[in-house]
Amino acid sequence: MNTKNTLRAHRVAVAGVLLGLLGCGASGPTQELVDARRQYQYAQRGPAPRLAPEALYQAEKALKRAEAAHKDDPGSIEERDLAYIAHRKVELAEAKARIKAQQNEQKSAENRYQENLEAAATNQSGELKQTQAQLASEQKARQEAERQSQAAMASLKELGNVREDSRGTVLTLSGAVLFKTGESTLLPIAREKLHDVAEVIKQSGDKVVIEGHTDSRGATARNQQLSQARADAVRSFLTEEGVSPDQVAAVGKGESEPIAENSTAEGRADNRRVEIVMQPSTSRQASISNP
Amino acid sequence: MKNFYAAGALGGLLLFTIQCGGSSVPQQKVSDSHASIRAAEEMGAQGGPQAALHLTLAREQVAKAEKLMKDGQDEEASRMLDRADADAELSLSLAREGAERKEASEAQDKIRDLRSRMGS
Repeated sequence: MNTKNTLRAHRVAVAGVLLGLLGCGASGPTQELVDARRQYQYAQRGPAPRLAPEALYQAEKALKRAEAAHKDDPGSIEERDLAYIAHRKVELAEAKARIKAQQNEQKSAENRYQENLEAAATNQSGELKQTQAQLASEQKARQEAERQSQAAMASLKELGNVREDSRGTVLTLSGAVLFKTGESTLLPIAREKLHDVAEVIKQSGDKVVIEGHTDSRGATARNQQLSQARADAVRSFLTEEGVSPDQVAAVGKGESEPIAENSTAEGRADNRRVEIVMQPSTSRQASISNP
Repeated sequence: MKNFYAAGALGGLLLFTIQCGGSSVPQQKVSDSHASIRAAEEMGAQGGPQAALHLTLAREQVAKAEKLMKDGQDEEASRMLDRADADAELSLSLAREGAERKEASEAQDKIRDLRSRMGS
């Protein structure tokens, strides 16, 4: 055999084998198929299997078609087209999963907002009820105070003469009931009456002025002194009964303000008196002026 | 002889098809692809970068498919239309995702506004 020809034949054979090998290497997946596979694996780890299972299933089918095309004719245009389509379908499944997740989150936020609204409404309703209850309680307290005040007024009337004038509510107690003639020490019965007066004063919170008055018999100065001493005696007793000292003042008027004629015994008896003047506070004054 | 005439007839038909631009790709398939693109456009696909990209790809692939059909490459044209459909569908979903996200953001703004006015 010719050596040259043999060598050429060998080279051709080796080249053929190499070409064959190269041909096998070129049968690897196209880049499109590689990308599609990777995207699918990535999608499987995300929310798509849970939130867009149907779309992901369609993508899987498309990928299988691409794989089949690769098996039949590796590197073909058909494989590339089908892989491209599979890739898009995987991305579609992922997009649908994101939309679903967003819708779920939106629904959840709306539910939370609704719950907050309802809770706020309940709270407001609760607060309103509390305020109403408080108002009712306060009104009841005011009514009770008013009732007590009226009861006290009624009891005052039992103690003596009660009238309203420009100074306020005036309780007139006869001197004979409170003191021995010419003295300024309170009689025992006076203490009982004045105890009730003290209760009324404490409840009302009004400022009180105790005025001592005498008739015109005897010296004016002596009458002035006596009337002051008597007013002081009443004031002392009231403060002992718990009336605040700041709340009550004592004034001796002597014989200067008679309410009856001093020429008769009865008139003089009327003039010998203690007037307890209760000066209402501004709010009470308003209610007195505007009943 | 008979085979010769059959082959000739077939060849003639093929030539006729190519020369007259006829295609075996159903016109419905082409119409469907155009419809998918329109749907994506109406959803506002041009507004988002990713959605717009896939919309452009869909349009280009439909144009390529129509050219392939004119050239008689029906199989390739059919697959090109499938690619266009896949891009159009993805574009539509991406546009929808964008629209939903915007709506959710506006709803959150409203809720925040209401809360601040309620003092909560």
